[in-house]
Amino acid sequence: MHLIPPGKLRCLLAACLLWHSVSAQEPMTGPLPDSLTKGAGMVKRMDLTEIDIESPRKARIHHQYVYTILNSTGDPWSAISTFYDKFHDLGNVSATLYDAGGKVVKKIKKSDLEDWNIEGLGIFMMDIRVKYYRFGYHAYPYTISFEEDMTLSGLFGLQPQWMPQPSSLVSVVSSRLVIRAPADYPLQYKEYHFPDPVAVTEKKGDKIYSWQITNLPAVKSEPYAADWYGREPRINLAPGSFEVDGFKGSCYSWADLGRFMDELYKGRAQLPEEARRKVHALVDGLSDDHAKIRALYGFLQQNTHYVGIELGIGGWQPYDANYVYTRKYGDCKALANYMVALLKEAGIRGCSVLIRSGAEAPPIDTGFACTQFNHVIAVAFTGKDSVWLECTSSTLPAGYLSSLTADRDALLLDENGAHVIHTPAYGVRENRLIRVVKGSIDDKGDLQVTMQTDYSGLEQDGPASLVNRASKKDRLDLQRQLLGLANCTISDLADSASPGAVPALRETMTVSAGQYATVAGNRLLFTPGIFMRKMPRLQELANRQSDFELKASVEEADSIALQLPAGWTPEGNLLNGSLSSPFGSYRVRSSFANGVLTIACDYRQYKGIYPAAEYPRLVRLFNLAHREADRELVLLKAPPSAGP
Amino acid sequence: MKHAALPVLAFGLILSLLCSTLARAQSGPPDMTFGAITPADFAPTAYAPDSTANAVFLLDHGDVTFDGTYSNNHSFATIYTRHTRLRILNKNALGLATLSISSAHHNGYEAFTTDVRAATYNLQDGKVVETKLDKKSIFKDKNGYYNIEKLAFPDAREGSIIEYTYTITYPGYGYIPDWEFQGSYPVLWSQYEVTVPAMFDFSVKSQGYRLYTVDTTFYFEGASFPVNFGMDARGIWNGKDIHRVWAMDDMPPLDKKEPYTTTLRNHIQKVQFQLSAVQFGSYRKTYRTTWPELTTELLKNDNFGGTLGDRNHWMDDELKKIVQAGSTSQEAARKIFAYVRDQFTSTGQEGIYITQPLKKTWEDKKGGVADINLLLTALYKHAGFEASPVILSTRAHGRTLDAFPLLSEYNYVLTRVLADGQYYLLDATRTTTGFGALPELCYNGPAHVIDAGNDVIPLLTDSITERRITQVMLANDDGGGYSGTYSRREGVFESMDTRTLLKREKPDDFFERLSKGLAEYKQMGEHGFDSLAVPEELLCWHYSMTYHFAQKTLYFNPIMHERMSNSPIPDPERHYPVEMPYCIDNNYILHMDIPKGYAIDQLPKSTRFTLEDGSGSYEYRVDTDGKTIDFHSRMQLKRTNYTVDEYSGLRNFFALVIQKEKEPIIFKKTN
Repeated sequence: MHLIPPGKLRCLLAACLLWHSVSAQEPMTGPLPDSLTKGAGMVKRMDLTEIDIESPRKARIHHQYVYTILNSTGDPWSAISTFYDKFHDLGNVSATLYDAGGKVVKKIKKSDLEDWNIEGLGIFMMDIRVKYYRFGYHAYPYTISFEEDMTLSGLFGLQPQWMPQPSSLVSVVSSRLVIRAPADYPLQYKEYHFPDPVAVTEKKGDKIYSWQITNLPAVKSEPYAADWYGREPRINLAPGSFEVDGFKGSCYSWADLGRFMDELYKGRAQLPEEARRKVHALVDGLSDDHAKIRALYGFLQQNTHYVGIELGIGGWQPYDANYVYTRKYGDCKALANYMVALLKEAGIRGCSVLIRSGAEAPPIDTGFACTQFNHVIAVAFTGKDSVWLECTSSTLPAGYLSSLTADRDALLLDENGAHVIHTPAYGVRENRLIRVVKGSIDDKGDLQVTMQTDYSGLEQDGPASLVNRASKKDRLDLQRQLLGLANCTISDLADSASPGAVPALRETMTVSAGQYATVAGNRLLFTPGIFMRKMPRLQELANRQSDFELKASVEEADSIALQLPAGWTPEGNLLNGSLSSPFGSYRVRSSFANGVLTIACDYRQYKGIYPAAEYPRLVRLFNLAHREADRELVLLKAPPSAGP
Repeated sequence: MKHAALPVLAFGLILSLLCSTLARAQSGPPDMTFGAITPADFAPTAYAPDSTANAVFLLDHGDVTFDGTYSNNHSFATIYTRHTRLRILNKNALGLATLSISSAHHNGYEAFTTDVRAATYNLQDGKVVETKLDKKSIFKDKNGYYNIEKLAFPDAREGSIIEYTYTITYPGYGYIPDWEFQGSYPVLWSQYEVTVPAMFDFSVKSQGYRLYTVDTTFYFEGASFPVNFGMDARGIWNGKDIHRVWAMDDMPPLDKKEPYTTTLRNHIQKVQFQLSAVQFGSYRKTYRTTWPELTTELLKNDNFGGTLGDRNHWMDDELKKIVQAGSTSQEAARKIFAYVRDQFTSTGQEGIYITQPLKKTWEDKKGGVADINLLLTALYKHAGFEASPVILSTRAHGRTLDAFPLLSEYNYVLTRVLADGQYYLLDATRTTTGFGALPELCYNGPAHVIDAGNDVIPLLTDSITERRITQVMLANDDGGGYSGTYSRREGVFESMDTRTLLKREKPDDFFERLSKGLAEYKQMGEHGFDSLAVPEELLCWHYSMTYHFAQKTLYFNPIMHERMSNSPIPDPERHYPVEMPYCIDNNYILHMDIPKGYAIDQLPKSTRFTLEDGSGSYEYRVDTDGKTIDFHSRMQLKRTNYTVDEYSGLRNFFALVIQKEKEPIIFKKTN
């Protein structure tokens, strides 16, 4: 921590003030250094967030920024967007658009903003409302300045994260966060990738926390780069103690947060009499806890569905079990809470689990207690086993979590508050696609095969969803599209699912494709790769900067056996190749015997973040698989045997 | 269900129709009392119109009446009541257990929703159990100009029946909501009734592939209420009410959109209304039944023609900067057009009326389609040009019936200007549109010029051709290598699309993507776009390439970057006619040396196939003189609309093209 000598402090403050007033006059047209315009769509000239915490019940936020948009990739940041809800009261809002010369083109105030609800998040009714305005200006560069005041009643929603560089396409001249709080107010914070630590000063019984970051250039986006969220400088904030809608809580630890949740959840797990009878009718005849859990989860799935209603404190506090039972619907937390109540009635211990859901969602930081969650699931315990339950899904089997919530830290709400727990991870042995293709090509090039595909784990998520939701016709259309064959007919489509903690799905069908192989004189050309693992083709990248990430572990094994027309043999090389690395492997082998062409290909990849220096090996792996799947095999007709 | 016949389009005046006979379906209408649900209603596991449906609408009933004694600034109100009953058969349709009812409030015109009543019914122990919707399950929301009532039905599961009714009041007269007899789920009984005092004359436009199950007109005596249409038309109206009823039974769901369907609006069974006259005693006012009437009305409307008047003096200064005063040359017209097209941003909002004063559009440099093109028209007029606005319905908005102008069907405005003795039709809302060119969406039939001349401009898809020319040259070069050039001149619409793409992506990224798809023995060299910044010019791009051949056998496909590999119409089944946006003329020419060290082993045969009526053809020609190879392919489609019966012929045509274009030239190494 830097100790600023008093004299210097005064100078610094004065400079700040002076700079602030200068910026009010003329930051818009100053030239920007090349280091900050290179690769950027938008440059943040200044960005100041001032939070004034008066008490655990109230805070004020003043936010100002000046953005210069350099080209069309920066246009999204020209949108003026802010929000309000039960706990956030929006005060003054104003924005100004300047042209390249710094001349004012347009000024807007709060009444000029459009008022919208947030639809399209899958939530039926939410009281968060958006105030929005779009300047629609395209003479680059242009600059937008913005200022708003907001009052928070209840600090639970204290801006949990401050991210001065929201995207790799944004460069930052200067971005500041200043928080003023009573000296005894327990403000919790944690810095990530931050060059300078916080500067804390005391003034008249208040503490002032100040962070500043300057001169951040835009970062070139490279393919398969790990999420920007994990690389960008940011600060997590949490209110050590807070009060919202009459509920008090503290946030020094996960256990604290759990205890606050407990307050919100208190008394909401009472099942009505009729529901209790139904539980017993379902489970009393069963001896095995696993069977009981499955029966109750099935009961939840058959009789309730998801409707998202998030109003006020209802954003964190679930509707009670009676509500869910009588209405037969609820949002994720109400359904999870209801599930836990059903389990409890059956004598099984269950808990609600707060989690950050999303296949691409970044992991939560378990070392810093604050609200990082957007979803709630449930877990049932029996003996040493945990059975995970996604309560908003009517189709997932008990014990299985899809890619939305698998393999991540989450917060289990237990009897002592809460503690961190990790959801099941599915690896290469679980996420598999095994395809077997058997059939023939005739001398006109027509193909006739049977195809059997076994999916398991995360690989079966997509296909299982189609089986459950899509019409047969849509599934046939999609399958035809996936194969990419013109003139293709798919028949005898059948499937059978094996539910369980690692569900599996078997799909079988008959595929016939006219002129699958191209006739070229005495040759037939075809691409067996339509039945093989397809990978994208990657470009070489010299001096790669960022580490790369593979988001899932999978294995795909394809085997193809094609009877070739009599008298035809493969010409040239068959598919053969292999490559192996720490993050994945690929192997393809072919052979021809007794008129049958056999190809077997196996692709594996392992989830993880790998060093940038290894990227050339990833390129070689992907490109090998791409090349082999793209290759055209040639069959040559044997010339007629010379006559006598 | 194949729609082989053209949709039945009929229109008539309410007054002129006599009492017609009732045509009843075998099953007849269900009991329309709210709550009339019996255990038998839960028996079916599937319903005839579509046995695979996830839900079925048992009843959809709309009822429109007039309230002549509605007190407000508007002396009348149109009351629309809807009553719907549906059954959820599968959990995939549980989304129907939440409902949003919107009513618009805009510019002082406020429609509002009342009398919401809703319930869920389930069969339990052989009895029907009702769960009413309580106040806590009704939420009030707002979005832009709409007030929305949101309902979450309690106790809904597979097999449940859901029923709801609500009323929307539209202050004033002259508006009767459209009614659609079809949706994404089958409907067992869809009924719409309209009761109108004989004082109002409404034109009715019907569309659909089936005749109505019920189509009746009744007259009721005894309508009486005070009327005030101005000084000469005040008093008490006494007369008949006309009561019209239309119903359809067993409607299958609307087939999903297929490739080259413009919009399902053209195919849905529906009925629409437009006020044509009001008569009270000797007072008679007619509305928009003919184009001259419509034109006069639009020109008087403050939000349309009113903007073109000469109150636009604030344009003077700007115009001076763009063009010389008084010039009506083509050059001046182009300059004014380019100014609006390039300096203004369209929000994309469609509609024929301005959304804000022209002056605001001018200051903000942004507006909707009507704001921008009416501004352009006003600018031209102010500069002394003869210019008029033109209205049309875009392809996605649906076809219009010329003999029956329904203003609600028009959603787009263009500008027509006379310069150097020639008319030009202009759209300034996109930076990729050149002077005199129009985007694809405008080609949907007749466009109407709104001026005294009442010209009609037929913007037909058959009248525009997308012409692409690609040329490839390859030769053995002096350095012992094999190299050449590729160049493509895109058609009008492809140029617009590529220019739009290049607003998001840099030219270098475009070529990088192309080079990613190249064979391993091919390398791309210098590359570029020509006339990228000039929308009036067709867009050309080109690159140079080198090849490094090493294999014993070369499989060389002469067609680069534009092989048809997937059929645009892959489905063997088709329900709707095919509506392509333009005619096609694609030309591909390749001239290549036989690569040094190789000889031709196999050359694809030249061939030609055509559509049955000859309007479409594909020509594939390969020739060689032993040293070089000349290749030329040309695909021409001279028609854009094909009936369902012609579909399989068209599909086969494309399948043949795909097949032919796969064939490679095969070279074998000679040493």
